[in-house]
Amino acid sequence: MSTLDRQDATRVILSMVVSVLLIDVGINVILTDSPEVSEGLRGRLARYFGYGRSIESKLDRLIGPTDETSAEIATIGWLDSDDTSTRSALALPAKAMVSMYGMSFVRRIGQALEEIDPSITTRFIGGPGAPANHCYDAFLRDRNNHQAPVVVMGITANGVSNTMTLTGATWAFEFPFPYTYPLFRVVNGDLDRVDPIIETIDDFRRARKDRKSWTRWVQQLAENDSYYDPFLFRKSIFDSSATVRVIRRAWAQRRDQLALQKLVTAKGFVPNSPELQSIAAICEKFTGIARADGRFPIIILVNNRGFSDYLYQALSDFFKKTDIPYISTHNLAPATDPSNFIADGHFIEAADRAIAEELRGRILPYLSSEPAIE
Amino acid sequence: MWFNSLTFAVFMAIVYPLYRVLPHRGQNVMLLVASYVFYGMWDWRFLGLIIISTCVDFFVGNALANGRKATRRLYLWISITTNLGLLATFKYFGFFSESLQALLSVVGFDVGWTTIHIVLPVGISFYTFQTMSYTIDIYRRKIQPTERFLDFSLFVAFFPQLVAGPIERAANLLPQIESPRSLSLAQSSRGLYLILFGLFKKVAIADGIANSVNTIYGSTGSLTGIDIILACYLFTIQIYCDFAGYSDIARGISKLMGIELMTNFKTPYFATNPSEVWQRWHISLSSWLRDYLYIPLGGNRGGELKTYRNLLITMALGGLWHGNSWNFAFWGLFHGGWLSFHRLISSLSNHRKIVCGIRSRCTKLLKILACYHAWCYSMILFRAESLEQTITFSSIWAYDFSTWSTSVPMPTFAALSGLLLLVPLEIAEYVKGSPLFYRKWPATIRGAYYALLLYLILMGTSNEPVQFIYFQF
Repeated sequence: MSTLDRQDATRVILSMVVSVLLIDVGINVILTDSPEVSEGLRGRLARYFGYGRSIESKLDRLIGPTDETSAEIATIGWLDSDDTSTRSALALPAKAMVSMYGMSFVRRIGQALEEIDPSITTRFIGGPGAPANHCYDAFLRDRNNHQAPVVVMGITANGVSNTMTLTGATWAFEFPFPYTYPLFRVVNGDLDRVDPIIETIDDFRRARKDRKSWTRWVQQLAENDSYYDPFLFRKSIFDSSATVRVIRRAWAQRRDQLALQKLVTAKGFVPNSPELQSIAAICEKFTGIARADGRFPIIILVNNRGFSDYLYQALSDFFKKTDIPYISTHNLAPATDPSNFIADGHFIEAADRAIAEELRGRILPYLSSEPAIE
Repeated sequence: MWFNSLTFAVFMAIVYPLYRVLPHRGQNVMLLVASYVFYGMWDWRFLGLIIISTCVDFFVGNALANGRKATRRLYLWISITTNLGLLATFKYFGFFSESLQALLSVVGFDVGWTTIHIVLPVGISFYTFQTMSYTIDIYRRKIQPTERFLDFSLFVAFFPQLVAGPIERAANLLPQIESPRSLSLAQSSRGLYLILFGLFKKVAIADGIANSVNTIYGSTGSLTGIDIILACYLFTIQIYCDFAGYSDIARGISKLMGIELMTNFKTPYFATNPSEVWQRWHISLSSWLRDYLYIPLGGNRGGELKTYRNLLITMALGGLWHGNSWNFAFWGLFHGGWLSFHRLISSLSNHRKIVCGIRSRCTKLLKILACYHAWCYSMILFRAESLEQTITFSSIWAYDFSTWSTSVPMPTFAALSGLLLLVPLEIAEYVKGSPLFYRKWPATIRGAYYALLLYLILMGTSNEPVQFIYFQF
């Protein structure tokens, strides 16, 4: 190797290192990820390079000392909440009331149901992307709060992998949802319950200020939450580096991929995974309790984009065998048809209406019956 | 094991230091073991097929060198039958069986046999063609057989190009395996650059586009003409970045070991006619088809009609080489027809001076655009899930010009940024006529350029990783 070659190689390497540093600093200076620059191309780019911040860092930005100083998304989904955005129409007459537990998909179907049949009133409790355990606990907590003769629970195909979690903060890396919920897992044929240490947004605020409490919460996540990953969760000085943020985002992507690979193949969900066992048991309990309360239970299987009819395939036989009423979206708005979806992944209005029509057909006979709880 | 995986990074972290400290013979033994490990990680059972192909062609090669004329032909047929037999069994059995069943049912015979679905061994089309070229070249007395079984085994299984090419010729690769290799700084830096550039194409661009393309081609519902047109463009970008990216990485890794593999792509989307397309796209396959199929069929030696026939046969078989479906056969026929048509037009324009002789840049640009769009259309045949889908797509874009389905995911930011960089780079390579154009840049600029590539790769690692498209062939 000649001296000239060596000098050239050294210069190239040095220039490369300096350039990476300059890119890193440049992104941080030009694309400050703050509410002031949330609009336009600059805002979008700032958000893009902010996705890779640690979950703790993002939660700190979302949650202020009061609800008024917090982002709206951070206040949604808490199961003890009296927030009217998650609990609606509590005081309405019972006769044609449907109580729904789920996520945005279910909420939209509920809205479509009211549009199709104005005599029906829906009430909804849910959280963004809420997995089955959140829905089930919402139903349990809500049992004595209403007189609806029909109860509906939604399960999404993309939420199956989030079943073994305690909070929306771990699995939703890019937009963490701080709300928490119990974890249900099948142990010796029964549903074992693990309650989260943090149950309210105020608990969260207090714990975030108290190192000991926060450590306990993180410890609980590390022990129980299948999506917890310290590199993604813990805040550190490296949050300031755009390069580390890009790497962290890729790491999260790989984690999500690995989680899905364990659960889903090209043919559908892997049978008998702990997640599916837990969902099946939750559905069975939900149905049993609702019937014992004198209500008609029904489950909506939301086969959303990227999952074909996998959820239907995975659960329909079990539902038939255990006499669990359900409707599945796979034949009403196939997930393999992109025209059934809007850009954010929700169904188009026509699809929501088609699902709501199907739901209405199933629940109509039960809406006029007398509720068990007065 | 994918080139863009952590597993491969670990694999290379073990293989490369070992390679650098071992003597030449030790390097070859270690590379052979590494190649078998690399391949075996997909499915170790298919190693048997490589070993069968290796043994047969090694012994046939040596027998060919010493045999009489009659026995030489027999040996050659043994080699060809074995390799094509492996291909026919493992790649085409189901296809032929189903096609025959369908044909018989058309004429009223319902045979109703059960088709056996055999798992396709990864890269089988690549290494069988590579080993066949070895025995055919010996038969033609173009090369001498190697006497070293280990070297020949490495020639067949050399891991950087084993599963998706380039399809190497023994005349190029075997001498490099047999002789001690030296490594220059220029070769190493070029190798590292090719790996970086290949990963950039694959990770940042191809994987960032895949989701959009897959959503449209995987759709069972209604699509608009704009969706399909966009999918066409995006797929041409995806497959180029995916396959050329793989070839770049394969060449880069080989260069780090002092081994030069052939160039597989030369700015293919700047071709002005179909003939040029195939001199720029998957060069190792197109040159293989030319040397071992088109020319033996008679090439252009028997008049125009026979030339067209030979082009159609060669390209149809070349299409089928890619996959066991009628789509690929029709894709090949499309290219055979396009080549024949171009030949016809060229001969007319040469003899009758129909085409104006002006060779302006504008004319060239128009030719490039026309050629690229013909290629785009042909890629519907290549990518479509079925012939029915090809027909549906071809009809939809003729009448449906409603807007793009908003639910089709857009390419990722990394892919779009990567394209902004790739397009001028491709133009520069085409205009300068050399892929080494960037080497003339000052060291500081080169360093900044590499940093940008690295950063885009890092951004691209957030894309959902997708298997290299050509692994399935």
